[in-house]
Amino acid sequence: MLGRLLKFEFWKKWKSNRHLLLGYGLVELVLLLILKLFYQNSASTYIISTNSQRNAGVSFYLITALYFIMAGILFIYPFIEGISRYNKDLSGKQAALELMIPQPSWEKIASKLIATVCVTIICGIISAFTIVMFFFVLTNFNADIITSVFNASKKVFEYPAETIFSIINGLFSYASFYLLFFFCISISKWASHKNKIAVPISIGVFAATIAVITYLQSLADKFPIINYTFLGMSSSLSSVIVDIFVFALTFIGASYVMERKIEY
Amino acid sequence: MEILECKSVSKKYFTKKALSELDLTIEKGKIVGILGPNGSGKTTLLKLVAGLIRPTSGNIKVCGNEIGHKTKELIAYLPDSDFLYPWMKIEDAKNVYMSFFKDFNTEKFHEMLEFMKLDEEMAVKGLSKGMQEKLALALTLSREAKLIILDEPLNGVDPVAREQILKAILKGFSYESSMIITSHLINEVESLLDQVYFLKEGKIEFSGNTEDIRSEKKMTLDELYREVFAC
Repeated sequence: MLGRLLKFEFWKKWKSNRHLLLGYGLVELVLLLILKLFYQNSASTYIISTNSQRNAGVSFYLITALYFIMAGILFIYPFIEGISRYNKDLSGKQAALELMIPQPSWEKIASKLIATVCVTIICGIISAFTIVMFFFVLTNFNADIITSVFNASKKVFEYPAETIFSIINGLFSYASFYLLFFFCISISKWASHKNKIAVPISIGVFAATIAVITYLQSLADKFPIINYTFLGMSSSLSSVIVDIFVFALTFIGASYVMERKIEY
Repeated sequence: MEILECKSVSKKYFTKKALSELDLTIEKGKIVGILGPNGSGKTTLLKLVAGLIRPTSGNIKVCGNEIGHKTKELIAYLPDSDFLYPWMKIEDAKNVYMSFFKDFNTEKFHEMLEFMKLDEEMAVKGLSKGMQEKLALALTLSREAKLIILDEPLNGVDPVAREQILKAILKGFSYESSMIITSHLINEVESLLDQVYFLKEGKIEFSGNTEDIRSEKKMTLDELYREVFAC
């Protein structure tokens, strides 16, 4: 059944955001075309390929900044959209449909979490692709730029263990942070569906939870059990245990509140 | 066989008491009307049974099961407000029901759509209030659930559509299940009901079999309602 919930979550995200994604693609394409058509032979290409400080004009910098800001927004968008959707799923118009689904809440939370992490990865890849395309197009697919991007990507495959560890570590941290938001929203919606009341409660719970996590991490630092260094990062077994404990606690907490306390 | 059993059910919202020590039983094959003025606790009762809210005290059982995510499989609930995503097409809504509710009967849904003159390609946001109500009803009644709950199915619907909805309710009802309906339009739903509960300020003010009421009191439900709730 988790599969069906996952499919539902992906489908909801696609249906409600496909126009935004299409809009993003179009805007980036137009910006890139403007840069390509109007700044191709100006100082811009020189700046990008040689990283010099030559003046290319304010409009070039503005369009470039807009291009990169858009790519950045696409990268963080799934996180914000996921939080907003969860909020609406618990107390918006469609909450009745969400709460009517005859599945345990932990499955609902897990499916939302997995779907958001996956969509973030997809959007991250699209963002990275957009940025790479910027350099490729504006340098007329300069051989040096292509080689440096290719070499950078090759490094990822040269150290598979480190790469996989970094990806897992990054995804886990992201999922934990995201779950923390779920937990805070669930608690606030338990107290009230009115945003005027729920939002301050959510912020309060967030601050309190961060304080508790910081305290637990400081305890972990005092009693490390085993210290180790991996990929140049120092950590300890206690710290890993705290991370897993916080993840489990926020997951169980959010599921419990959604199952037993949320009312629509 | 008892489909629904509520024992001493109370519900408080902070200090406000929405339901008080309510006892209610619904047998298989019955259509039960929960009638009462605004704020009498009708929707609260239905939400409690549907598992969308939890009682402050008391006990609710559906087919012998305590309310929880498992009883949601046994209950088809029509909320009193829009609950479908505006970007959905009717076909999308059908697919959601098909994937989550094992008892969803696609054939019955198609029959209902045809009866309601709706098309699968129509978008939810393009539907009028009456059409949305019809769609929600078609989805709810296409489930072969043990208990069907319809919260104000005639709200905001014109008289022609109302008639169509009432026909659809009768068409979609199976005597293997039970149904709870709330409505302000007592005249309209009277012919459907086997049993009624009049709710006033969270308490059952009156209950009985509709046939008995009509024969014993020589009154229609509407007349009795006016008598019970007259200030």
